[in-house]
Amino acid sequence: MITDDQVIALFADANPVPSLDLLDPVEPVDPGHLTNRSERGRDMTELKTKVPSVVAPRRGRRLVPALAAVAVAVVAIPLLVSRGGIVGDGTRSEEVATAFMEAISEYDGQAAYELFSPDGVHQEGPPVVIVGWSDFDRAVQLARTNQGCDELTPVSFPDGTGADAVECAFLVQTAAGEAMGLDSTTGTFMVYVEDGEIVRTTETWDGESVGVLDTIAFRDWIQVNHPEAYETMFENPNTPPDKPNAPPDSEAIALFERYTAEFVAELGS
Amino acid sequence: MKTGTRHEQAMTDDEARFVEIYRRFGKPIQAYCARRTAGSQVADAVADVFLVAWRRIDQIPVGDAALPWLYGVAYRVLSHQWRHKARIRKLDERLRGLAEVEVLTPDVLVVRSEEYRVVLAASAQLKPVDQEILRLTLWEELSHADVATVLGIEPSAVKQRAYRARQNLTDEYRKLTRDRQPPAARKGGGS
Repeated sequence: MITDDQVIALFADANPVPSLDLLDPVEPVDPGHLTNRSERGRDMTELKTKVPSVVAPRRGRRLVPALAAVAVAVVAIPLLVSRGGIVGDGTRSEEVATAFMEAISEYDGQAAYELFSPDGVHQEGPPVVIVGWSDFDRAVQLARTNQGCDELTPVSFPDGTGADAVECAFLVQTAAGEAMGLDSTTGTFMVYVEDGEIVRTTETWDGESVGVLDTIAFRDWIQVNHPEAYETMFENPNTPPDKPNAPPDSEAIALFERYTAEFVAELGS
Repeated sequence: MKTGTRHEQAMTDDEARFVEIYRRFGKPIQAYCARRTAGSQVADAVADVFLVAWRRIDQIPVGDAALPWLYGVAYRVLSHQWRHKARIRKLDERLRGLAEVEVLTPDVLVVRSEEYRVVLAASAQLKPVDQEILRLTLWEELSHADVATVLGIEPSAVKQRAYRARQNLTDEYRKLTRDRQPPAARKGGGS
């Protein structure tokens, strides 16, 4: 019987290119042919930002919130006098942000929504979409594990208003990602709180795997195994990927729920 | 003119560094890509890797540390290329089970040996990250620390995954070879 070491050695020997000598010589590069690095090209940034435009209806968790965060960061000016993060009723802004994170992680979109001020902004749209997205997160078994919230320097916005800035970190994993063996990734919610109400939130995910590779694999699997559902799930006019503030409709969410479970079960079998 | 001169000098330095990186690491990156994708796509993949390297020349570690960094870029470039091709195929294979042992990866174009084919089929049963850890450690012969750089995970996680990947590879290999034997030859066969 073949030993463990022999199997490993066999795999090592199965290397399709065991020696660099088997390859053609590397042609010298002509510096004159190097492109201007300032030109937009197919670099890692593009690899990262291209994905959301072709995959599942997502909230633009990478590009849009990143842009929003940059916009906030650019206009935000530290207040001269610290507000101390205490709102009128004595509730710390950090506690408001923590309550928001708990609601999000428990798929209670309604509770998260009710923490916003009437003119609050989630990502770049109305916060009511959180309700629909929470249903979607539950359907695809997207789990956020809160890592805690920290209050940062308060900020002021161009319209003269100010807010406490609270950064909440979390780990995120999806059922599909876990079934595929992907590691969870880290993410951050920036929660801006004024007088006990959330005035703005932005969400960013740090990793490349969860939310990208699992979505791609799942989408491809749907194409092969449930082509009749593909359009409703991924090309639904009500859930265009380029409109991250529109959550999937109930029909799409139901399909995501059913087929996520099937996808995970098949991977695990 | 002083600014322009300094700018031009900086560009010259970047170009010189890029040429040197390409000269030193072009072949290993070519090999990395050739081990993982079809021959017709290798040149494009290598070009993509070095295009990223050129655009991010300021971020490339100095010396030998540049190679794991470049492998990391190649890993992501190939992941990008495979999205619409191999992923459908490999996932489909995995989900349908390998009733007939068949590895449809480009590797099979090069490796014809039956044993190699089976061990590659066994590796295809592992999680993608674990497959890549096996390839990086056994084909590129990287240390766990360098594998961690490539994959963007902790070295301790690489060590654990590498151990588990080897175990799983062995298990899958035995499973496949056992399944390919006639029932009577299997242990406990005929029940």
